[in-house]
Amino acid sequence: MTKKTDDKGTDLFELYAKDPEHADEVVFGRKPHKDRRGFLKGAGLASMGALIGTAIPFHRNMPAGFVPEALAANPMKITGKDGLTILNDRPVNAETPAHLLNDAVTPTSRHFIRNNGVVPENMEADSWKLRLDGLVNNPMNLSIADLKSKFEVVTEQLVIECGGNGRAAFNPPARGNQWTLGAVACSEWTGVRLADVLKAAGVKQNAIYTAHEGADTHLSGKEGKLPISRGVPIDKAMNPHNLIAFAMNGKEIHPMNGAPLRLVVPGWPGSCSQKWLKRIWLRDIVHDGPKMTGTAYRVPQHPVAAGEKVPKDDFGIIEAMPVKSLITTPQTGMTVADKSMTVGGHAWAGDNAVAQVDVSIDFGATWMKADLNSPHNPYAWQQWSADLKFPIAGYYEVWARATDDKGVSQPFAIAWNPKGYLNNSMHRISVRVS
Amino acid sequence: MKPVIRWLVLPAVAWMWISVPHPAAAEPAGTIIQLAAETNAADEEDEYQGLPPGAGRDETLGICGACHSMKLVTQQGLSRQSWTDVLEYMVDEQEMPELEPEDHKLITDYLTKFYGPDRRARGMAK
Repeated sequence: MTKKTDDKGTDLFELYAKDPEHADEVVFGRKPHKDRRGFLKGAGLASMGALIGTAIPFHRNMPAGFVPEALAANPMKITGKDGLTILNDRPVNAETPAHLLNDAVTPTSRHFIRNNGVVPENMEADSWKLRLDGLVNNPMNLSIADLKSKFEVVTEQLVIECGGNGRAAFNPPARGNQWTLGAVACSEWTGVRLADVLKAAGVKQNAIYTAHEGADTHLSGKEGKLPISRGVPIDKAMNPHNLIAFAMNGKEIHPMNGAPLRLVVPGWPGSCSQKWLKRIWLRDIVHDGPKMTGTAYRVPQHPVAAGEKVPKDDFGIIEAMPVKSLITTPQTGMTVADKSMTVGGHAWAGDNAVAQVDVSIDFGATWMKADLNSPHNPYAWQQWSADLKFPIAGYYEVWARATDDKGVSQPFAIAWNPKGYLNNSMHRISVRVS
Repeated sequence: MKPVIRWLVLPAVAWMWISVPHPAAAEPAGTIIQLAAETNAADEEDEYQGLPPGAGRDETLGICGACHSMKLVTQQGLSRQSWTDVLEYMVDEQEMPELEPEDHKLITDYLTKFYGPDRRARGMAK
């Protein structure tokens, strides 16, 4: 697997400048299939060949729904992204296979993409303005330069995980993007503390909740309708690790990850971390913007049976994400000759830290403690590793289980809920020892 | 929204092609020209973004495809009740027009038949 550096940002902006209309028509038009056909005509396989860089002699044998490895790894799929699995192209949603998340700090090219709406037309950093209003003493309009000059600039490694990560394992299935494992990342974000900006704005006594708005627009094209606007309680908003970020891994934020300005509210569902951030306002009620109400980003407040119909009133808003871990090396499905192997990955735990990671090679009958690093900073994921010995040749599964500093561990089974959120069941990979 | 999608064009094309079922054939085709000749059938299928033929396909593509690609549909595996809930949600919260009863039935039938709980493309082991 070749490693892609995350230096595609500038190319992307150049591409916008060249011929945005055509691309827009093709992918975002109301009847995209017509235009797509024009593009495709007589060139589908040739295009693929061109992308891969050669002809495909046995293409007739290639199964339906099969992505050539060369293409799965091709950085041209989404400029500046490398190896992501695209779940949806309108709106764009893409996740990263677990073994491509091996870096302690997730490269921009490997950070998942989750969109609810149409990505904004203008992502120009110099003219960008963030408005702070609602229940504040000093409403403010801040440029990115203002943020940099008026507030302390900090850099932290922060986990963002989609609330629906792991939904694909739900049975009965839950609707929505069928994320498997890779709607999670821990990149290095640079920005100013949300808390500092809120303090400068002067939060009024009666404010209890934030409300976030971005520049993305609704898929239906309806003027003024927000695709998503979520918020967090004031207590969470004042946590010093929430950032209003303008840089990702030391460079411009990737356009699909919210350039030029976004919130990063680590440890809570990614939807709290509004992309293309334009406005934060303070409210004296629990924010009721799109995807705050109904059953969006909510789970039943009592245990339910799989498939059970749950009344809307029984749902509550998801706050911290649960303890979880990933095995990022080796890739699942390996056959190895050696009976020794080092496995490793990351573990994270919402608002908490991870205290321990254990691994099993015998379907959970026995466990051994892995080595675990402390986090680079609170809300960074933690690296763990373990040296395994396989007693004889055969099929093994390696399971990993993280436990947080409150003593809460990952379950084996999914706590099923109607909308498919918070699947933190143990990650397992297969290994064949020959 | 103009600037964003430029870099998705090639990938979209390639992906669409991949999702088209291909007749299995023993003899390998070795040249780009031969590859290109095969794309017309794929091309036709591609108009439906992977939706299989059946009563309600045009309506499903027309109504659902107005706002999002069929990839959002083809990932799912839902019961009739869940599909009905999805359509209700789309009307209540996502600006989908209210459907005539016959269109509603046609689309629900189609989705339930092809994207029922046992049909979803992206389940994972657990």
